[in-house]
Amino acid sequence: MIEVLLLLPAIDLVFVDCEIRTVCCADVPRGSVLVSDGVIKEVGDIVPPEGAELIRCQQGDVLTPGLIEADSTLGLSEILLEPLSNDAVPALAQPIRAHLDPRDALDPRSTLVGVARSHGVTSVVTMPSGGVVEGRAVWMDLVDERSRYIDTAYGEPSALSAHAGQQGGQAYGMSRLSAFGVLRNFFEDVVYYRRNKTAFLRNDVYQTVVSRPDLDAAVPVTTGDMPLLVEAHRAADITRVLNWANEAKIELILVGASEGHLVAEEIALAEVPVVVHPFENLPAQFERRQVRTDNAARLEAAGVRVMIATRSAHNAGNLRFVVGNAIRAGFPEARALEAVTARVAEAYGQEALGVVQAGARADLVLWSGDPFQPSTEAKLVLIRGERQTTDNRQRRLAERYIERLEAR
Amino acid sequence: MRRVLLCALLSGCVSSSPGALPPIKGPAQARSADADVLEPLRPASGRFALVGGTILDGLGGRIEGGTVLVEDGRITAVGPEVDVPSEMRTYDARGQFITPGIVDTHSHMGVYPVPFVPAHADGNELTDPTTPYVFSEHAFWPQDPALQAAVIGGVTTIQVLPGSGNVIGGRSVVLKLRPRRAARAMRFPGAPFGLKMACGENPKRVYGEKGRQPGSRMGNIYKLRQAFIEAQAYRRAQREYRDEFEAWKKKHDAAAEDPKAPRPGEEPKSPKRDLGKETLAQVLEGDIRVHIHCYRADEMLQMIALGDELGYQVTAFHHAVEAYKIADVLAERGIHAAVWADWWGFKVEAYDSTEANAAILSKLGGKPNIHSDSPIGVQRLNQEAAKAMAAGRHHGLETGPAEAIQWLTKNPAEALGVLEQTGTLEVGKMADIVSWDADPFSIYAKTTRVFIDGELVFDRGRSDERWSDFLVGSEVEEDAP
Repeated sequence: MIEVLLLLPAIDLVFVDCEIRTVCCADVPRGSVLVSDGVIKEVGDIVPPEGAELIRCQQGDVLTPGLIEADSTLGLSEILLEPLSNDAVPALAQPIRAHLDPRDALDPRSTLVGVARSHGVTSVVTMPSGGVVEGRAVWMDLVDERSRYIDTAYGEPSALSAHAGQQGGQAYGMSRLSAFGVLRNFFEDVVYYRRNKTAFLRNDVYQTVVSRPDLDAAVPVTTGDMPLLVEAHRAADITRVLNWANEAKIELILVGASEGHLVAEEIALAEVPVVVHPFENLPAQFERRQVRTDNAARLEAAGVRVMIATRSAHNAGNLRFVVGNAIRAGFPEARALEAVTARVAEAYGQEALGVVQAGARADLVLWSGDPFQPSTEAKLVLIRGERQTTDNRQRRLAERYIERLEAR
Repeated sequence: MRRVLLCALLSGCVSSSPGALPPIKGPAQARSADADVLEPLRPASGRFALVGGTILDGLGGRIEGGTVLVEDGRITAVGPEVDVPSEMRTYDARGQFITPGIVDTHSHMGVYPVPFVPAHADGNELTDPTTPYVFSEHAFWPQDPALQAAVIGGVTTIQVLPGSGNVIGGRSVVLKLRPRRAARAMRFPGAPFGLKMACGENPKRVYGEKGRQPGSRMGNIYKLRQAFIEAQAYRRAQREYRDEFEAWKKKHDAAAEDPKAPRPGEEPKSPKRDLGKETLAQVLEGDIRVHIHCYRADEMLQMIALGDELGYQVTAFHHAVEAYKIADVLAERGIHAAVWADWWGFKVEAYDSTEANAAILSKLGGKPNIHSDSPIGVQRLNQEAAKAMAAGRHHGLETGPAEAIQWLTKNPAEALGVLEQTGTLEVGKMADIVSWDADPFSIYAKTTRVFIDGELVFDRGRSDERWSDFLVGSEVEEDAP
């Protein structure tokens, strides 16, 4: 109980004399940030309030919003190859799994959480994998076990996830024809269901092939209240998805888009944001024959709103290195941080998050230098204004054996 | 010994005496790592110098404003004050870093090439848990588009291994990444073969699921012991035969010289050749190096003990996620640990990972290799080393760039048996050299030039042709990542 009290963010916290990358606004070469009640109250020249805890930045330290992994299964799997320790890939035959709700299996105390957090990742968007419509995505904050938010670390589903390309085909009928067909039919059914719900439930109208919970889960997508994530890589698949979503009035977020650079202007015109995995730069499937290392940079240059993700659970902590590599391949440095903070928050309906601005949630990371450099360390992590440990199971194992080996 | 036997096979070596003696059949030849190839790698001709860079020489040294001279594919000078003849071609490396070419101890490029389609999946001969008779070289597709991406990442030498589905997977091959039309033509001259072995989850899963042996870690070890015990018998029979053959041949030669000497009698019969046992016998001879896929500390100790029992020596443990737990033993035995910076958790045996693995090994005098096992990871092994360095620093184990570069160059070159040829920048070695536009441990560092045997295989800014035929006909020209 005492420990819990210690964590209460009642005391104001002030970061003093820091280089601040605000994301929202101009960067502050040297300034302060006041955090109170879990929220950023002030940024700039601040006179610290009486009794506030002061965290004085050292030369070279950089303060940024916490990083957000946009495409993960974190919290759903402890060990990938152990079926019962991995809830992210249910062994279901059905291609439509919209009803799957990560909250039924999420573990905010997973040992993966601390590993990602030690690299400055403060939230993830986590979702199941498999099928044509995979299930829903949930936002989860990577708070530590002692946090008073541990049992409310995740929120309501904020997106639905689907596949359009080869992976969809693999899940249903071994063909894009069957996969995209079942996807399109499903959403037609959802619209029909939404319009005829009363009659549908009375059982006296046309019945759909999928279950009612799947339909219910997808209704917000057809009313513009929830985005649909669609993974597609081939340029032709991307175009097909864009046209379909436009006709069906579905708010789309593209995922992967390896050949997106070939149709970047179309994507920009449709104002569809894209989650890019910059490490995936090889033609690993025929549908990525024209993949490019600088895909993210080219999409951004065409005016697409790019988000950058690791697509990893265990190694979500590599997010900052993935960003560094995107910069290396030409992604504009000035927008790199935004691609893993504010843009992700916005795409998943999180308001006032991912920026260092008065009124925003106090998810902050204090780095010992450039956040994207391996030599830099996340010195301090704040989530919802609470200070989080940067220790984790891996670091404890290392300490344990360093001590033992030194004692020998 | 080999030369003598080779000589015995060549008709010119044996003085022929008219008619009286039957021709010598002699022992069968095992495939050697330096057997002739159709298009052998030859060093590039010509002289050039890289001038004015910060050299991390792979020996632990750092030279500011250093120059490397190359002549006909070999390094002829390295240092801060090197005279560059005025007519010599020079590459300005001021503001850049110069390192040895990176050596990746663990690759499946070419045997699991991209695109990853079933037609390309050739790295695991999953028809028997012990397949020492297969060679990764025989499945290697030199058109794998990943190869050029690796070179752009500064990699000049790789070991291509069979996969880990089998307890004994087969022979590996060490290749230099100069574009050629066949694996044999890419072979690292003189590099020994490796033998790929695997402990733990993979073999027992693959065969257990088929309802076959091994279905457990017990079965894994049983299969290994059985294979090596049979190979010991084979080796004994081979040795006995060779002794008999040598004795007989002496008599034969004497009879050929002197018609009055006693007749040699019938030539001893060579034991039936067994390609699998032949490989394992060469392992027992120490001619083939043992590379074991092994994650858990206790299993590595098992494999070391098993080697003591059966007569093989472990050169390197690969994917050695728990190597830090036995860093003292590995250091004492001089066993290499090929590790990732941070891959973990995909299997139970990969659960106890720490990013400080390499740094702990290094501090205890061990030999970490940062390996990739991935056509993606191989493109940025320098960054993986940088992560491992940072993790060490977090735990108070400081490693500087001059030391950490050895995790990528010197140590893996030693593990592959090619340190006398590559892995450091030293006079007389192959000119496998990389220049970088920044400290290679920076996330933003890009290679500027990559030389293999003195051949400029990558030159940033020059419009580079794609090596792989697979990529011909794409709409866009790829700039180097």
